Amino acid sequence: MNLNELNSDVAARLRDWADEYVAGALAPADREALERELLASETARRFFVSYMELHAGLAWQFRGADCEVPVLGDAKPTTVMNSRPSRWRLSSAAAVLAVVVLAVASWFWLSEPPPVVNTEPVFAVVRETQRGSWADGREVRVSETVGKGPWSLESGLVSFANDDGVELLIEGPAVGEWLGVQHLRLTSGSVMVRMPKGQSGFVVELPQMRVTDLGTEFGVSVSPSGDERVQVYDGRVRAETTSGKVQELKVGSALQCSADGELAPASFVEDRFTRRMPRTAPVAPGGPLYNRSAIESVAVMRATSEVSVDGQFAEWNQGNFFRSACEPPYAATYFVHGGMMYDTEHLYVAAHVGDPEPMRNAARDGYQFAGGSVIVRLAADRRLGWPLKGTGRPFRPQNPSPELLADSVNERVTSLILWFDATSGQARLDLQHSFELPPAAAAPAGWKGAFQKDADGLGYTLEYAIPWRLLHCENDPPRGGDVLGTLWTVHWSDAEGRICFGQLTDVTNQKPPASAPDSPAAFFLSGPHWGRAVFQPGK
Amino acid sequence: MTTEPSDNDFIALLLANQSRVYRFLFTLVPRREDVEDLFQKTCLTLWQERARFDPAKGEFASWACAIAQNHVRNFRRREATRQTLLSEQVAELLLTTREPGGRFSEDCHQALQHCLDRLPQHQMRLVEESYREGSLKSTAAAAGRSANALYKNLRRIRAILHDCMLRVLAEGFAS
Repeated sequence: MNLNELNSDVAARLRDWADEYVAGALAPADREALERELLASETARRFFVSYMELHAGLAWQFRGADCEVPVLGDAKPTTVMNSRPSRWRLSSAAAVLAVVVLAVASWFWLSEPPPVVNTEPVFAVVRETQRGSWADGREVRVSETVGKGPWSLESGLVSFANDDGVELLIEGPAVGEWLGVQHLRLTSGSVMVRMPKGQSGFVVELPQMRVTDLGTEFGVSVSPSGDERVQVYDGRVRAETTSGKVQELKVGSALQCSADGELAPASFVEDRFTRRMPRTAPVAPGGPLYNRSAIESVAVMRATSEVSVDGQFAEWNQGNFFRSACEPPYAATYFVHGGMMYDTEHLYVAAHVGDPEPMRNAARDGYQFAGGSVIVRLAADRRLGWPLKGTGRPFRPQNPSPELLADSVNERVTSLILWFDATSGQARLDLQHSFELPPAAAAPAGWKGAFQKDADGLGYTLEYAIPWRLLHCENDPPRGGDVLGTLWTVHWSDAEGRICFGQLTDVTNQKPPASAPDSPAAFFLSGPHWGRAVFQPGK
Repeated sequence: MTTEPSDNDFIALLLANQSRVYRFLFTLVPRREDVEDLFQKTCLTLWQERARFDPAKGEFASWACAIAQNHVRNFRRREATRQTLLSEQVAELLLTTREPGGRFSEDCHQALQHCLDRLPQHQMRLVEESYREGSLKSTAAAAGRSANALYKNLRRIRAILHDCMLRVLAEGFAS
């Protein structure tokens, strides 16, 4: 097969597409055309692979000095990463040292943006970031530049500024494309645009709308279900649908456009968009995502019919649920709406959790809670009263009284760790007993659990039926009139379901003792901080 | 009976094959910054998993590329919404085109080295500066030319190199 005999037009086209592909600038239509060509012809594939080898070979051969690693032990420093094989003269000692350096350097490189062949002008510069992370896992860095091409912000808040003084605040997760200095495409997520006084003309392309600034501050968003929204905080914007409908919006107004292009007025909700970088430290108690507990008591209703554990809540009166959310700007995204029921055999738990990365728990051994979970703690022993007295060891006096010790090691104080194993696709229940908190263990058989992802992909529901015997109280289960200690904690994770990046703790004693702990994240170790589960009478 | 390679042997294998791994990644992931990131991750995994490499079970390059491919799979999952990558079906076909052990790719690489050695010095300098500097802008500024003009020039040089590679692949290194 002589690749030089490929039709010259086809060859030129393949090279052009390959160049644009490597530059990250291949238009969707061209990508589809390229794929058709490659699927249809082995000659085209070999031609394309050989041209990509050219790109790869040049990139490898002339990688920048940033990637060089000194090989210790040689008379003169040489390079590992940027050399051809013939240059390597590794003594044994040098080789071992080199690999250690390579390993260490790799860690360094993983956290440093690699050098980029950038033939495009800079459109904007990162001015501030709070936990900003690109979809490839790189942390967003202050002073990082962006140019023409697609982008995907996995998490966090990132503020950009361009030479014209335009400020953009993008809240992850969000996907889009830089089209020009004053031109952005937003495929999903939300963006705030703030123009300097006296300037106008910034354009945001949404799937169904083009939003043009007329000298203003405005927010635009595209939900995963395709609903688009524009909200004007200052000045005016013009919204134009792909079908040609035009509407001008003034300050204090909002507009929505459905996935099928239908325009409708929307209510203006002040905090729908994050307008400013939060000035409070993002590492306040509980991490970047945290809440301020305001709930002390939850009603535990008696189940009036058999509960079907399917994550759909058909048997539940959600009017008895409590709702708790993280502090702004995360309140609409990270929340829990949950409740409990009981009968003589079971404790039932139901919750709807707002979570942009739902049900992704990668079951990291020993850190299952961290990959996304709801933990319900219940002191199922009415003799313990309320407030509870027992504590974990860190908050126990050196010589606790016998009563305090007995309360602290009571096996009927149970932590129920409810999580969805993304690897197996199964609901899981892990248990810990007492404030001693031994390593969590998978619950023995007999319980039922179900999870359902929200239709918009921004949360999940869970529903569990847990026999009282798993809480060591089958012979004397809670009954109507009992007031028992309880505490709810929700954990959110990174997109891979491994790293916890925030939590919410609620149903807490609103007049807690002055003693430690200060942080709600540690309330689970302190019975006096737990709230109340009030078991309602019933048949 | 097989013997586990020592760390010295392992680093020698790693060094000898890193170009293959890098180029393998480039076939599957186009943007250079993504390739760099995946390459570093792959290097780290290779080092961390070195005890699992068994020379009796296959070549180092195959093992290393399999690990690189796992990183690419994770990357693809994360990049699903960006829609900048070729489809999985096409990517699989391109891997097949590389041939077992990357034979066709190795031939291409050898051909490229052959052609680079014959590239006029001023063209070689432009290619080198463009890739080493990471930007045509600074190269253009230094040369007193526009970035656009240099970009066109670079494209033309790439086409010359590629034509040369294809000739070598068809006719051998005498061409």
